[in-house]
Amino acid sequence: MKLAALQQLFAAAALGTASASEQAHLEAQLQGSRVLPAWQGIEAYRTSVDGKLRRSLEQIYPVCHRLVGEDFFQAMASAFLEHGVSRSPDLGDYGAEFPAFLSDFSPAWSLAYLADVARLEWLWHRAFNAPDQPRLDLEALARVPPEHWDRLVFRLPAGAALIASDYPIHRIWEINTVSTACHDVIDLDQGGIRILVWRDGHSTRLDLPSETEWKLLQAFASGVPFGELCRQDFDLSGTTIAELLPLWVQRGWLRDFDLQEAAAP
Amino acid sequence: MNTPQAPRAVVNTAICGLLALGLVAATSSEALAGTAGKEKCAGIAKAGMNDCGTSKHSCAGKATVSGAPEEWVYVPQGTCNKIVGGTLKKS
Repeated sequence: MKLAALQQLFAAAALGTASASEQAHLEAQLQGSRVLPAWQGIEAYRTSVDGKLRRSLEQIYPVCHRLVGEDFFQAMASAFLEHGVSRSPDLGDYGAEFPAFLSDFSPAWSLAYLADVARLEWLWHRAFNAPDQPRLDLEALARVPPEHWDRLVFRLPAGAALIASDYPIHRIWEINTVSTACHDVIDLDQGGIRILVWRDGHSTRLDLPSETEWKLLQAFASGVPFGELCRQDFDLSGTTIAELLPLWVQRGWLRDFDLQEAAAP
Repeated sequence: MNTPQAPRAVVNTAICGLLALGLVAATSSEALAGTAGKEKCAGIAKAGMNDCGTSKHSCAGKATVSGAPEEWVYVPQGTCNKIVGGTLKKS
């Protein structure tokens, strides 16, 4: 048997998708021991992979887990596991498609907010695991000649993300993670929410930007050069970019900068 | 709104203001430890994940039955009853 074919068989067995005849085929290629026959060895792999992936989902999506309960969550996880395998060698990348999967998972449709809560939890997970980043380097900024200031592109922190939802997902998140808030009742009709998920040193944060701040954050997030950003006529409700820029750098919302390539003459 | 400025002037004012922050920081190391964002905090820190997520799972661990779970499993039974209104169907 070719190595590739053997590997395919083994992967199918470890993922639990191998047919009975494929399993028999694989077993014939493997040598067990007196205490652990080959089929038990394969079974150990299968349950281990399954358990590991379930544990990952539980740890990335604890609020979803609490919202639906253990049985329902495991049923969702089973369906998701059948949905496909991870293409990344990093377990930290596993589960990215779970929120989109939940949107299409009809048994969960009675919980209209569930997929959005999952999106928030995924972004939290990504921000939590993002690389550490120092504060914006003002000395380096001071070395940029004023004629290039137009081309400055300020960056949000690594792993930072903006998420909007029609539901108060930050409150749902809060009552299921902060023990003191657990007796509150959430009213879904209280309206939509916009959240900046980011990490400031050791604390991963959910900040709630105002509508004004949101538009400006989106512009920064999409890498609009500073000159162009100043030319766009943002309604900043009485404040100015000149006031907000130092504030946001101090707050840590803007963490880095680079220079957009000069346009060819 | 403030008096409209030419875009160039807006850029210059903003970057100069930002660089001034650096001058303040040079004289006071506290200056950059701003907490301006904190008051908007919605909630917050939870414990991080363990490194590999396997600590509770031994390799001889629970075998999972594949195939369709019982129908009753498909009724969410967690804390979602704390959430009211919206499109949530109460039945």
